[in-house]
Parts: sequence; C-alpha cells; structure tokens
Amino acid sequence: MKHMTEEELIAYREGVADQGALISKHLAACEECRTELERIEAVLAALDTLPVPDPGVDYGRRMWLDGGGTCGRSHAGSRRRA
Amino acid sequence: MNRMQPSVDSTQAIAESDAIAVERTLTGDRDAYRVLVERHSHNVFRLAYRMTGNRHDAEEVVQEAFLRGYQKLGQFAARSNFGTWVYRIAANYAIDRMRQRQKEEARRAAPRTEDRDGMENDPLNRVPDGAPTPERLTQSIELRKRMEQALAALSDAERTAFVMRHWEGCGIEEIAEVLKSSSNATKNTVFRAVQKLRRALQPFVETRAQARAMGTES
Repeated sequence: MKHMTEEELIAYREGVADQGALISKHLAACEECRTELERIEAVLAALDTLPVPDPGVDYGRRMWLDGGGTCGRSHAGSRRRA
Repeated sequence: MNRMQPSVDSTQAIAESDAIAVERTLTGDRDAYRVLVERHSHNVFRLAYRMTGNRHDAEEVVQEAFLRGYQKLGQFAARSNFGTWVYRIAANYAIDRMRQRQKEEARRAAPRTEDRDGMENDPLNRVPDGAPTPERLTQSIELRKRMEQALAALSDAERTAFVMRHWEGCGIEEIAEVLKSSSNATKNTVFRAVQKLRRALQPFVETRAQARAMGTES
C-alpha cells in the first residue's frame, strides 16, 4: 500500500488537500497513516493551547479613543510609537 | 466629546449592517466608523496578536488597520465584507510590523555571539530569550516557550499562512491575496509552516504524551 506523504496529511488536516476524499478513504484503511496524522494533530493541538490575551470588553472603545477617534487623524505620524 | 448623541434607532440601524455603517461613514458620519471599530477590533486583535506574538505590536496593528481602513474606505467595494477587508489590511500591516521588529532585533542582537554547545544551530534559539533556564521551568511553561519560539522561527509568510489558515480559518484565496502569492504556493506555505512546527515541537509533545502514558507527568 502506498502511504500518504507528510504534505498530503498536513494539507488534509488543514483542510486544503486537493484529494481530501481519497485521503479519507486511505486513512480509514491504513493504521500507519492514521498514526502519522495523530502525531501531526498532537503538535497542532499543543499549539492550540497557546493563549491569546483578552483585550477586554471595552477594547474597541479604547482603540477608538486611543486613536483620537481613529479617523480623526489625517496622517499616520500621530499614532503611538514604541 | 461634542458630537451629537446618536438616537437609539440610528445606533441599532448601524449595528445591523456593516454596509450601512460604511455608507454612513462615507457620507461623513464618523460615529458610524466607531461602530465598525468596536465591532471588529476583537477579531483583528486576535489575528494581530497571533501574527506578531506580542500585545504591544498587536494593538498597534489594530489601530493602524482601522486608520488605513478609514483612509481607504472609498476604495472599499460595497459587495465586500468589511470585517474581511479590514482583517486583510491588518494582516498586511502585521507582516510589515513583523519585518520591522525582526530588523530591530537583529540590530540589537548583532554584537552578541552564541557559544552554547552548538545551540546556535537550533532554529528555536534564533529569538531572544530572557527567560529563566529550562531546568527551572515546569513542563507546561517550557512547552509554551518552545511553541512561541517555533512560531517566531517561521518566516513571515509561513507564520501568516499558519495563523490565517489554522487559527483563523481563512480560505486559501484570502491568504494568497495577503501574501501576494498563488493558491498553490500558499498551500505549500501552510505545509512548510506546519512541517517546521512539527520538526521543532514533536519530540517535546511526544515526550509529554509518553510521560502521561507512564503516569510520570505532574
């Protein structure tokens, strides 16, 4: 049996595979490729645990006010700098 | 603030549709743009944070994206989705910001030389690391640090493609537009990103899995 390449499995996992149905069918029958896919998924699942800070419920309002009403600035030179 | 308070009806109408808010902004109603900023800033912040990896840059990206959005609003096609449009502006600016940040860090790091048991060849060590020694860290903190470093070691295009596809669920065409690339090349960029992340993190992730299986993980 010809196994899926890493590229095919990653594309399948990320939903961009050209031959998604074919890969699904292969995975159903191939334990080796399923195990390989699980290894890829384990890394992605770990990455999914990286937190994104909550900017707060009033974030949009703060952004608006911080920007002086954003659109009130006629050029980028007045924006905050590091 | 000396602007007139919008009526409840007016506010509701704006909230119902970005298209209406865009139209009103274009006729000079600044408050309509405020609604767009408030409605979309969380999504844009999430994208910007994942792309830049830090809050300060992310907030700058959000602010710049809405400023550019306002300045270019006349070019916004009414049939488009404002959220998608400003999101794309943010992604483009985030790429610029990442490049700028890399140049700044390269300048700062230039006089330093790495001489730690060949560690300079490890892509995970390309980013500055002021954290305590790994021995002192818990496994979860260590993994998180490793993940942040692995993401930082991706090229701008790879990080953008990964964030937009994996975390934000954007379509390949949308990502390709941001990267100014073809669909096939963009798919390949997503692949390279995941492959690099896998190379960098899999041994560590597997160690955790094994530790769990053996019941030795705290």
